[in-house]
Amino acid sequence: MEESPELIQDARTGNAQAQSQLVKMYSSRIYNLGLRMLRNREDAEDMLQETFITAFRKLDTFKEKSSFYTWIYRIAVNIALGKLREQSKMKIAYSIQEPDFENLHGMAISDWPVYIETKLTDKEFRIALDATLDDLPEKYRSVFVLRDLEGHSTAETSKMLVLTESNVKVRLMRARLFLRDRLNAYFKRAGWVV
Amino acid sequence: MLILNAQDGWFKMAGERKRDVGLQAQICSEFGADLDSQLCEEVGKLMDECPDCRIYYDTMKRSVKLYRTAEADQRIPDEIAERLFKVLQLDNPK
Repeated sequence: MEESPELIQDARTGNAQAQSQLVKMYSSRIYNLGLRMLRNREDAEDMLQETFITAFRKLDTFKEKSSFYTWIYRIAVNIALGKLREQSKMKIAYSIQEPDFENLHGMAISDWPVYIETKLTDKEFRIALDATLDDLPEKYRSVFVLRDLEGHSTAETSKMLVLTESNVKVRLMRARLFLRDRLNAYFKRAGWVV
Repeated sequence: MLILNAQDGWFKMAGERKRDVGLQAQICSEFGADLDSQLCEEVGKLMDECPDCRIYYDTMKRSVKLYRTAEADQRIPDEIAERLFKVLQLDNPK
């Protein structure tokens, strides 16, 4: 199923069938973005609903310079960022500290055995992967999600997050190093890495 | 130590060798290059001169791949789709 100018035009005029088709086409992708950025199903579902409500309410402002998907995706990112900002305000009240990225280096470097990837079927490891990404501070996680998981370019990510491109690059590097080092520590505890 | 000439984009080995485990990641990031890009591949080749750097780089790349696999797209659960259509007051075209 592909979006066509006719489908968008029909949705714009309030055609319920056309709107349903758009929801069907893009709800999974928007929901996945929500899960990646917000890290839980409830918030991802809230974001999903708010995204489509906002999109259909503002459909007459859609200029068709980009695809409908690109347009609604930007709405979804903005809603997710708004939710993350709310969450980070709450976290400050609990004094959650940002990890010290300056001390990531200078550790002993261990190679990982080839079987590490097969451990993805291990439930405990999946929980650890989730927890590590949860621990990554929001300002780095958003960049990591959009660049490395969602596959956007540096330029696209910088526009969506309203950051300079160099800021995106620095945050991406820090996110990758943080995750690598946290995983390495987990592998050591699990005895998979010496 | 890797030296980067930002103007012509060349990399070369120069001076004494010094461990700098985050360097390749930094270079790739600074250029906005994907980990699988040609640029990163070139840097990776140079990493052969520095085994620890190479290991660090490889494991970082594998970390990203692990997350990509773990966070792969999933179909929206039926109950969440149902609630979405209900909120939007639309029929679910099954």
